[in-house]
Amino acid sequence: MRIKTSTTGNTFEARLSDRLTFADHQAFREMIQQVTTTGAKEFVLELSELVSIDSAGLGMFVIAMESGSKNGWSLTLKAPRPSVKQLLLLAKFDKLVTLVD
Amino acid sequence: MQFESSLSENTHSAVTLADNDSLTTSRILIADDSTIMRTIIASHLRRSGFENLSFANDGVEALQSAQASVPDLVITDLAMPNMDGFDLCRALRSDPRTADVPILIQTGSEFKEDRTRSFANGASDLVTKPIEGQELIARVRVHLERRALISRLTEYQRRMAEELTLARVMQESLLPEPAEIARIERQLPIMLSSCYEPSLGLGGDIWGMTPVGARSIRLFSADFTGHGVGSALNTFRLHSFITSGAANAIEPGAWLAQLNEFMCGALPVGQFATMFAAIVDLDRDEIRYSAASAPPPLLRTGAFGAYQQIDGTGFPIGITRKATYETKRLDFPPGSTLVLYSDALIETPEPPNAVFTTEKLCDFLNGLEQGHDAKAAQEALVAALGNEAGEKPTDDLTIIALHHRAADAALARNVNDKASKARSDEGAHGSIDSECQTFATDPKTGMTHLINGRFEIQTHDQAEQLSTLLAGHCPDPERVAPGLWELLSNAIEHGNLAISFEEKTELLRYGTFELEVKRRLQQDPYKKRIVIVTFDQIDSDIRIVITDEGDGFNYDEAMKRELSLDLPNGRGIAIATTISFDTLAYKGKGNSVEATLKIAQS
Repeated sequence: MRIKTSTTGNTFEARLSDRLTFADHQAFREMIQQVTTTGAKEFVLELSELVSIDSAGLGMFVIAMESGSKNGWSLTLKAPRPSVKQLLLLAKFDKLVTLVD
Repeated sequence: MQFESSLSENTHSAVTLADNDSLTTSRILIADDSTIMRTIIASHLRRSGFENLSFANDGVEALQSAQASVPDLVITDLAMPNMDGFDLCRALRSDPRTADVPILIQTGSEFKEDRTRSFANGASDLVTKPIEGQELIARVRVHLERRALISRLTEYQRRMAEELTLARVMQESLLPEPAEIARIERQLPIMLSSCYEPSLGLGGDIWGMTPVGARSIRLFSADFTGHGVGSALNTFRLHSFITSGAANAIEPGAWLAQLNEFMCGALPVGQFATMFAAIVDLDRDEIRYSAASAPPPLLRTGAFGAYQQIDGTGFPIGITRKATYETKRLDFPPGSTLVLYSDALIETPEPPNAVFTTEKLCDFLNGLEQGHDAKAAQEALVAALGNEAGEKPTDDLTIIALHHRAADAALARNVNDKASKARSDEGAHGSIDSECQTFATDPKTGMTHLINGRFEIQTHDQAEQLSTLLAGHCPDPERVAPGLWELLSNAIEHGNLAISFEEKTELLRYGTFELEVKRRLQQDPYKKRIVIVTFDQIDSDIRIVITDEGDGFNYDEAMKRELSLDLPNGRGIAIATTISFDTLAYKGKGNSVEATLKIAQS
């Protein structure tokens, strides 16, 4: 996985690319830490370049969600590819976080 | 043989090609019902040194004698009892053993009809009665000499044909052996298909493929000027030089420069070779190449790209030591195909009527079914040339197609870069151990499918590679890969390494999951455990069984509750059942799972 981040006002955006698996856990955790540190109110994960995600990757979104509710920011998953979106919908993530195309 | 050796020993200043010494041993059969005539003819012959004579009283006797021991010449009368001279002629001509024995017929000069009839029945010549000694001997000699020459030429031709056949076998042995190609194909994710047809029994084309390092191969083709023996000898020169190891450069440009240096010294002025040399680097998914006036090779980048010409320009090999050769690179990702060919492919028949120009070749290959492999490409070209040219190429024809196998790319790459990474990351085992793989090729698409296979893995890296590999052999790889990955990583994490769902969640939360996996992979009893994966395609079903060496789990309970992705544990199983597979069943103590897929019948 590769991450590109940017901050606009209260929004912290991260573009993920390639695959998101357990191996990316460390980097992902650090990124969540960073969101909290910058004091952003909204964390947008831009997924259009993310090719695939596995169960551990889904687990990371859950961790992000938990961290957000604890630290006062919201999580938005943006523009997932059909294969990734399918998994997010099956996991009913659309009920837990904001999912936008 | 007998004539040849005696002729060469002849040191007389002979007017004729062969003198008495060499011809007088010839066996001459004289057929005449008149004792006097037989005696006259024999005495003329004996006087000229012909001693090896036999006699027959009529045609039947003559035929029997000739068939018992084939004479070198027959002198016969026409009018004889039992079988006349005409019938004897026909009988001798119709027997392959005596078909080319010269036959002299004695005729009276007054019987013009007989003379014509004699030739019509197969006589070689006539001697006019009354027999005149010098004329008889002159005619006998002419025909014996002619026969000797013909048999020498026939023998020479036969021996040349034999030697050319032998030389052709020797020359073909310069090309990579099928077993060697198969071995390389097993070790590396490539597929090679070739055809080689020398024009005049021997050709000036040669090509080769040799591994260079663990994950690269050198592929080259060369075409020497002309064809036939001279060009063939040059292919031996080139081959010996290459196999001697004297050309030790790796990169194609430098390698061609070494060949050029050698060939400039070895080849006579006017002889040279056109060449193309490439290093196919399967680590970097690229080819590095250099050319020496080769017909532009064709490259398809990736399985679904379009064929494009590669620059084949460059100084021919063996012309000037001042020539330099540049190495260029092009991407060669899995699915790519490289096609090399000799100019016969674009010059049959002679341009402008040729079936293929390089542009037409590109179009033709691009018109083939998408995703085709090397064999399909090469065979289609040969078939098209055969169909449309309606004649065999007049020059040597070589076509080589090299394909970077897509489906197995993951497996093969694993052997090297992932292996070293995995060794340092996770433990001692980097490559997937696989054995007993059976493949089948779809006759329509030319694509190769795995029929069955057995694989052993230990690490996450291997699991990732294997899930990609096996999914590639399923009808919908994108659907299968995520679920397969989940099942394989479950077998490693929860099975072999005995990390519970709860533990994993905790480890992930603290960012120490990878570290823990690495630690356990080096620890007893986990480090010896392997996950065995079998893949079987039976009719329209694909069955994948994954068995780990862990303690299993209470799968009844896990499968009984509704599988859902929003539960923190069991997400992997849910992905496998909901997205990837048609059925999923745990077995035994829960350390074995069988996943199945139906292949849609088209």
